[in-house]
Amino acid sequence: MSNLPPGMAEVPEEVKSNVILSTVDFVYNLARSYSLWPMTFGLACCAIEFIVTGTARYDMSRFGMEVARPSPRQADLMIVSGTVTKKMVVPIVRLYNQMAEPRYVISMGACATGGGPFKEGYNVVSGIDKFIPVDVYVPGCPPTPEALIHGFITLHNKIKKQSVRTVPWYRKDYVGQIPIPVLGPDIFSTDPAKMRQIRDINMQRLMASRAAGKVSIAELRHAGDDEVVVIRNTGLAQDMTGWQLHSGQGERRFHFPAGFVLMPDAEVRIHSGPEAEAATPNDLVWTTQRIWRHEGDTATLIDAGGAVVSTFSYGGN
Amino acid sequence: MSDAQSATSLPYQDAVPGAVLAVEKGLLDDSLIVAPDKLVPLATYLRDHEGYDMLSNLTAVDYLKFKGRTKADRFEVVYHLYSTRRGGRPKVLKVRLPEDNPVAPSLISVYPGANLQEREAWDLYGIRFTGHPNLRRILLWEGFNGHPMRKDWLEPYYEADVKPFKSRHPDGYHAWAEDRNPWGDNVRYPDGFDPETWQSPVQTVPLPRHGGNGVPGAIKTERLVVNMGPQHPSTHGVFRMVVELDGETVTALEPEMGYLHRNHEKIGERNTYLMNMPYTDRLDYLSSMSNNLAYAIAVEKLLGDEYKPPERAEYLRVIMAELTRIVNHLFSVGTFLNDLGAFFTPLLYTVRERELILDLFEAASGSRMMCNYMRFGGVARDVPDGWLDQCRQLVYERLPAKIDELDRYLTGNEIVQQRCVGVGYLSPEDAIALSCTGPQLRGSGVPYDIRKAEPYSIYDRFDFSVVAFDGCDVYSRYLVRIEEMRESIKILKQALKQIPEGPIQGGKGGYTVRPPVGDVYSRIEAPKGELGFYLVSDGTGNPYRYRVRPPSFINLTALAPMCIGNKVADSVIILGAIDIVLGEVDR
Repeated sequence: MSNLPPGMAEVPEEVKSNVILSTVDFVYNLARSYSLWPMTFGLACCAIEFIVTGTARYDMSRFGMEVARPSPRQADLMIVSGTVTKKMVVPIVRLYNQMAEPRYVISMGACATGGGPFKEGYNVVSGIDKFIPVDVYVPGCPPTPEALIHGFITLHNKIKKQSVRTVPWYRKDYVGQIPIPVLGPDIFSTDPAKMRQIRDINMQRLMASRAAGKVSIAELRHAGDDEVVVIRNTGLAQDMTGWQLHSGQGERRFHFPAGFVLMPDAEVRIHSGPEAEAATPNDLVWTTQRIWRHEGDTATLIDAGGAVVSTFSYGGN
Repeated sequence: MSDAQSATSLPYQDAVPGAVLAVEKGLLDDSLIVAPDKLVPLATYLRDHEGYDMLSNLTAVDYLKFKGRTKADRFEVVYHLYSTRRGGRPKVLKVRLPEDNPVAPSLISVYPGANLQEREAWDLYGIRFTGHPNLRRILLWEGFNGHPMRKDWLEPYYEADVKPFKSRHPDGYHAWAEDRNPWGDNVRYPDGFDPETWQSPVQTVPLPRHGGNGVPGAIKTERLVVNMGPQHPSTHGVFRMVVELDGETVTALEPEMGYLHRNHEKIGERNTYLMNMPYTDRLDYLSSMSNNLAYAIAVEKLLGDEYKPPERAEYLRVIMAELTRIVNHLFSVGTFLNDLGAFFTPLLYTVRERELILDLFEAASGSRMMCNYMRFGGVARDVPDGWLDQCRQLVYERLPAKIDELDRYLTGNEIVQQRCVGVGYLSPEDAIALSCTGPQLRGSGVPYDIRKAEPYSIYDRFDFSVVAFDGCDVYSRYLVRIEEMRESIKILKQALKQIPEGPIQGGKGGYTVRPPVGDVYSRIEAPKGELGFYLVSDGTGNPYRYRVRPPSFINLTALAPMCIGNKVADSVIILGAIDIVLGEVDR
């Protein structure tokens, strides 16, 4: 009696040689844990150790795992063996979605677990568990075959503790599909909540950088008899009613027209000199006289309250 | 650096007037500063009249933060030309480009081997090459924000320009990079980016599409485009081939890579020189000792004679490098047979011998695969007692017998011959023009081996021959690997006989080295071909530019020419015979 395997119940005397009583969970888990078929799927250095685990010295078939399947449809176990890059995580999530339940994931090595030595790289995902659920993490860089086998045994033990009543994939509301990330300017998840979060933070950052920006004189140049002062706005839209442009040498003032609004990222050009003309709404003509001294002059921009916003020196340099 | 010289004293003024603007003194080689518009004529002249027939290395450098450089010459494209007949040091050409519109002429018309390397320079530095037929991003994806190797492009986890990062441990506690990033993740978006309105740019792979076979009266067939990879059991990792098929015949092929682009070079520029040593292990992860050796030699060339390794260290390096060659070729032959359809059984035989060599590596360095064994001016530690005897036993008795066994089982095998002979033809001229190196070049009958052409370390002391077979096909490449293992055994026997006792570390040692200002290109014959390191030093403890010239990446340039006209099943073994490792292809 005492040498019965765990989970086995005691058997009545009359059916002893014909019937074995056990639990569904025990039989399920026994079958599952000892016929885990891994997917033929290698990413980087760890994949070599994964291959070596299958060879004679370490012999993965001792665990019923030598049947490596190239197709995710036939595989039970995905061994993420190596550095996961942003470009590669898209196919990985797709492969994971194609695997049939129950499916398990082993994160093999430092890179797959948390980015490893390449974590700070711009194309590296800091851990596959940011995208797909992981059952067992195997540390090492790369883990030796022995370490990987220890990971397998840990996974077997985990499977043996499962129960068909509680595993998620038999539940009615179970979806099991992970939204496939998209490669934009950088990788982003297609989960709507995450997309909203990304947009909100991006807009906040845009507004913050706008608020830090300001209206300033960007350039003072002349082409023949057309003198141009370029005023650029790197901040939010600015109503320039009451603003003035002041020339240092000639002591002349230019008043901006009432209701003139300078949009973000836009520039206004103020022309002076005999050939001054306004080609676009953002070209303003001051006067047909020459204003700026080419040997050296300073332009000052003054806002409606009389405060100096920006100065610009011209000539000599 | 570039002194004002009178126009008459500059080289090549008669051949290509005005091409060379200045001559820059380098640590090892003088480099010619070339006018961008005269680059193609000068390269043609050097190829046709001076025998510089191979463009070995093409890369770009961003001199934004370098002392003495301005915006007018911010970018520099560097070309290293070699002669496969003469060997010796390279001819170095440099083209300087301004910040606002960096455009250089493409060298594809002179050296077709520039193809993938120019695409890489465009991807990572944003330098346009006029005349390139297919200037797309290669390692990253279309739509990626910016060109990441530029010095002013900062990654999401950016902390400081160079390590050691002071910000890593404020107040003695570890600060997580994620916590400094608003998304808590390794991502960065342009301000105002809205993922809901994002549309990926249309990616066009330039395959010539044809309808029908063009023969009047024949059956109209349609060409089919097949994507192989990135998850494909035959592609040796995460590599993708877009193949256009007419029936079963390949009519066009386009390699797609970057699925393992883990930013080796960007990280390498942040690291100190010594910190890069373990990273080189992970380049070509099957032959980490060779990578160590290549990098150690490159830095020693920067540092000068002071860091010359002592004798015992030189011998240990050679022993490790040649053992690595055997490891690599064993694995390569095994997986090649896998590709041929002999699933796993030949690999079981080859991996068994590989394990024995890995045991030696583990005893010497502490790790099976990622050895991190070489240091500047020596090796990390001496081998333990009894190591050399174990190595001798392996080299003298076991390995030669096992290589013969492999040879006996495989080389004469009818299926192997049927599948391999005449498949994947690459003529010697094309192999050189496409910058192929290693077994791929020698399988085309070009006896070019850097151990002989430009001996490094102590290879000039050993008696061995360069293996070359002139079948120009997959079978020859396989034969080269088998024979090279025998030559390595030959070198190992000599090295194990001659190895002296003595110190294993020369130079000053220590963790920080500060090489003088300058640049150096150094290369070795790695198992897969020419593994080069191009290092630019600005006098600090961190490399200003850290470029790896990966052999299997550049050998892939020849993939499409070799596959076209063959059957789709043969494209798998042609790729297998190139022997790529993605850690090196994508870096």
